Amino acid sequence: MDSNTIMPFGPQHPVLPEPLQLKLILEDEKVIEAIPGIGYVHRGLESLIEKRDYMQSVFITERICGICSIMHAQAYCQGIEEIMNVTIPDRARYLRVIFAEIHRMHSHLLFLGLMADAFGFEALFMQCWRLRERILDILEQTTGHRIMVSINTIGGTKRDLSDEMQKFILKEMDEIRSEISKIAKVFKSDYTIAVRLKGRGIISGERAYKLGAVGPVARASGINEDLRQLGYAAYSELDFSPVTMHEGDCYARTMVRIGELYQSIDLVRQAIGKLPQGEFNVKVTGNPNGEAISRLEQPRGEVMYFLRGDGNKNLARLRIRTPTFAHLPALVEMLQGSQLSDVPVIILSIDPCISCTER
Amino acid sequence: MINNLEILDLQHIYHHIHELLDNGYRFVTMTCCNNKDGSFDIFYTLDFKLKLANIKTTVTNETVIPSISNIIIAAAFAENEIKELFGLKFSGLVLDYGGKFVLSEGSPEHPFGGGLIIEKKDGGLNG
Repeated sequence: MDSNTIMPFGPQHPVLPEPLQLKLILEDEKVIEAIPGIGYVHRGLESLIEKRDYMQSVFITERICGICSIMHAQAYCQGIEEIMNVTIPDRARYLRVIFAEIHRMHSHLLFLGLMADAFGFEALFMQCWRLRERILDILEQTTGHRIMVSINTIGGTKRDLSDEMQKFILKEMDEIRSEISKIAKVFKSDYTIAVRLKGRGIISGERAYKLGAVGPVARASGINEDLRQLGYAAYSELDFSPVTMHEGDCYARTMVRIGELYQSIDLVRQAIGKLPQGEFNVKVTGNPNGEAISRLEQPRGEVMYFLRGDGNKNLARLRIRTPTFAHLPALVEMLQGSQLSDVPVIILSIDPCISCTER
Repeated sequence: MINNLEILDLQHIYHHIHELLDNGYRFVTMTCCNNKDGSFDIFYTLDFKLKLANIKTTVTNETVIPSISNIIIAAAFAENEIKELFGLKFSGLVLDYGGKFVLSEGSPEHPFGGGLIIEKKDGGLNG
């Protein structure tokens, strides 16, 4: 008797922060095949941007995703600046690093909390999100907003960081580092976490690369690539190397993100230490005319912006390829052969962002 | 300006991408753009050691584009999206969502394809 069952997982499921459906083809409780289905939150934002002034569109790109709003705007601004040959002030390059890394910490702590919730460790979920609140407080005190911080603008940044704010951030980073160590200790040493995550959803480095995986998912499978190595903003003047692991399982993907929390603290400290004096934005006039591809390392991995301007105030085309879009084939492969009970943590281990993916 | 951009005829695209993938390139994405003359530019973007290779071809809405999804499955999602949003045709798609990948039931057909008119409906919260 054929015992295959087709089971819809999502779009509404307690473990999913956003609507994603996977049609799981099961043999008893083993996943034979998974077919992803999106289309629940497509907003046509690329089309909307083509109808707005290119300066206004910074605000639209921020709203593609709340969790990486800074970096969406940064990728967009970088692209426009390339088309229009705008060189931003050195101070702005460093400010972009500082805010991007603080944002990465907020995203990774959100992920760690959701992951803890998925494997049923509520106290750990609470601690991760409690710590994330401190990051959001830094953003609120320095930019005026907790999520849609709106710090990037074409030509630099909208706000500066005063000496007092820099001291405040450095002090917070010290304390947050100590708090992260406590959380990391639990992730490293807890028996239940190891049982739920180790050896689950394995993808080899070779397969991850061939399937187009990026960011922490690729690095957890041993791929030593991080788009910050391109040296955009001020990364070329800062010392860091990609955080990698080789196991390629849910545990490795989680631990890479914990490693990147320490890395972000270090990058914030370096950037504040080297922050040049001077202006933090330049005035930009004219309209974009030409094409550019802008890429950067978001918390979830590589984001790619394709921009085409035709000399009008609005862009002729904007296309965004987000990290979760790139992770769909890898996710399908991770799920094949897994047990149904592991599906939630495997899905969460790629840190899916569906509003990004569908735009 | 896009660096490292090659412009190729459609019939050379499949083999060229096959060659790049064999040489260790990673597929990044495909991008479709409307041109003013009604044609469409399709950009194939791949990466090798953080350097991009871009290939551009130009098609019309009558052209049947050979899918590259049988050599790189990641392209299937990008091709489904282009098919839905722009109304372009692909042959040999290994995973075909039948027009329901990013769009849902009742959505306008090919909203990025040009010529779309959305009628204002009566009713709703704003009357």
